[in-house]
Amino acid sequence: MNTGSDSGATRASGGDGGFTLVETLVAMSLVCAILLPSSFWLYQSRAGGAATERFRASQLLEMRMNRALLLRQAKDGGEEIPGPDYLRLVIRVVRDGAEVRLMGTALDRKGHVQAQLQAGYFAGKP
Amino acid sequence: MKRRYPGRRAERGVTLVELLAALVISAFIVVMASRIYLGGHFQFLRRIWEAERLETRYRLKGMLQGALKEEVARCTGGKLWLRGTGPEKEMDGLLRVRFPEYSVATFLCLEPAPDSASLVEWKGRFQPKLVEYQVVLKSHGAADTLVGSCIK
Repeated sequence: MNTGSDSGATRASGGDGGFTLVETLVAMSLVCAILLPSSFWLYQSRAGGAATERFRASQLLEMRMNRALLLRQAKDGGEEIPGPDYLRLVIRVVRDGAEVRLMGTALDRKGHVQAQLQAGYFAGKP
Repeated sequence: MKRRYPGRRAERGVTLVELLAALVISAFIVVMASRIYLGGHFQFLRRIWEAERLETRYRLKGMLQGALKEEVARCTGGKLWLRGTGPEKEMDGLLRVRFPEYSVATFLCLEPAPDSASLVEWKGRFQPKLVEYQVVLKSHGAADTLVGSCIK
């Protein structure tokens, strides 16, 4: 086993400069002390609450879609509605003959799609 | 007279430094393993708790969507009353019975304005076209809010 005193002597004499046992242990401790909490944090931030956030996004989008559907905002092109600070709700209106379809998308602040909903009605019917 | 023990010098035991290093490494491995186990267990419990929260929200949504198919009797001050076969029932009471975590709920009944440009509060004629709800649930010290709407 390479002890600190041995290696120190070796290195002082200009031999091969390997790490001492103490250095290796300190390095392992530091790496694990940093990496382990980081990995847990990363896992938590990636997986934690993802389903809940998607559900919330879907609910908010549904609310906007219901309002839009009721108001028959059959405008060509898209309509962007500001949602909560982390969401952007985009409702596009597509006319296909008598049918009017609303396509809603909830995007997070990075532009990833959180939820999508579609609703349709016939313009000729009340 | 000097006594000689044959093989004494050739035998090499574990030095103190080696013993300490082995102890440190063992302790390190045990601490790390227990920390990983506890961390994993904590994450598992957290996932279960979040799944339960989500399941409660879905149940609540289903219950609201089902209840709001009934006739709305009144909708004022954030409260909503349903008119079933019997007497009027307040939504607050129904929620409190079915969901122990229930804290407070606010309902808003809407109908399109005459010019169809906006939605206005339901005046009480016919039935509201849209019922928006906000329900607060409290469990384990955390508050969950379910917002949503239902087209009638």
